[in-house]
Amino acid sequence: MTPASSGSGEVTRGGLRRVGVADPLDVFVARWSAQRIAGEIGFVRVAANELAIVVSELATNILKYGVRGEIALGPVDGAPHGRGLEIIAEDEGPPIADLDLALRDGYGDRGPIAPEHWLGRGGIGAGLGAVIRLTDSFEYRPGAGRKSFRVVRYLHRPRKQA
Amino acid sequence: MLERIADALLVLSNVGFGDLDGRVVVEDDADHPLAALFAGINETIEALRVEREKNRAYQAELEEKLTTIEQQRNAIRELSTPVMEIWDGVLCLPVVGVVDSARSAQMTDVLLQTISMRGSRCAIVDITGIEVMDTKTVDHFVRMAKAVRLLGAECLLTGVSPNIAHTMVHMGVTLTDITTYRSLREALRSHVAQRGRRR
Repeated sequence: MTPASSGSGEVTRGGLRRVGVADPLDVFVARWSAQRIAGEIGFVRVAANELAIVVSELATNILKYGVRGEIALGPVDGAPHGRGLEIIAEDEGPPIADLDLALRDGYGDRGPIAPEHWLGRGGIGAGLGAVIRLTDSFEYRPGAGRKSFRVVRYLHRPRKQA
Repeated sequence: MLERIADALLVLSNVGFGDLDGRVVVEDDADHPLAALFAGINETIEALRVEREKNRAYQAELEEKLTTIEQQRNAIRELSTPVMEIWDGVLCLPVVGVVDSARSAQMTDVLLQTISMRGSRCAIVDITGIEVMDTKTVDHFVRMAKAVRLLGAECLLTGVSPNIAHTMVHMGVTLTDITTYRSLREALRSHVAQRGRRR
């Protein structure tokens, strides 16, 4: 039986739970997986909801800029920050032209986004900014014809350098 | 012979309890009067087992379908941004689920278009049940309220959670930027009363 979502839901591979992202419903599936796994790890509800926003932004970006991709979720544990949730978003899209620009609120990777273009491109250019604000570590790995983001949010958030 | 019949009865009683893995031992000599009967019993148990497997598969499939439907229903609820006219000239935008940056952009657009299309005088944005928003998204909501005022309408925010209130204060949002009410009902009552006084 094939579920309506083209990513066909959550599968476990390599110790991480993975949700394929190819249509808007997959964004929801990924978000629900994140909320559930965050709860299992021990995040309180507000934090789990924040992680749902993070996954939502990353998955929406896959739909917007990557051809197709995947969200992988799993627990991390160890020094120095202890338990947390790791989120990897990988897609088969071109690398980001200018990461510093893309991370600024109100900007895409090629410059500022005027309000009249918010709807046309489906956002206000604050997605990656939100991802950074709501997580504790952020890694961007560009590759040939693909790219990935790895973010971690810890149960006990370390203080960020301003 | 009696022993073998007792064995067969035992297997059959297990079947009665739902154990379909047991089989009656059929001896090699096919001429034995009970051989055909025992073989028949085994075939029947096997047929039952196959049917039960099929049933379980159907059930799993059905449950999977129900889960998918439930997920789609939630998705539709969160994807759609219904703007309802709940009173003469008063629009309501109930926001549920998770609000990310893409959704906040979409909601602003729908609300502003509906206000200008219908010439509404008031828009109530109800965010009861939204516990968390990114600061930039909250900022976007405040801008939306200002844009609504530029269209000549009033924008009331209701159902602000303690967490979002905290975020707003942290961002420096003041009550001159946005009008809030505890609930949708209070917002509507206040707006209607004010309108009555103006007449």
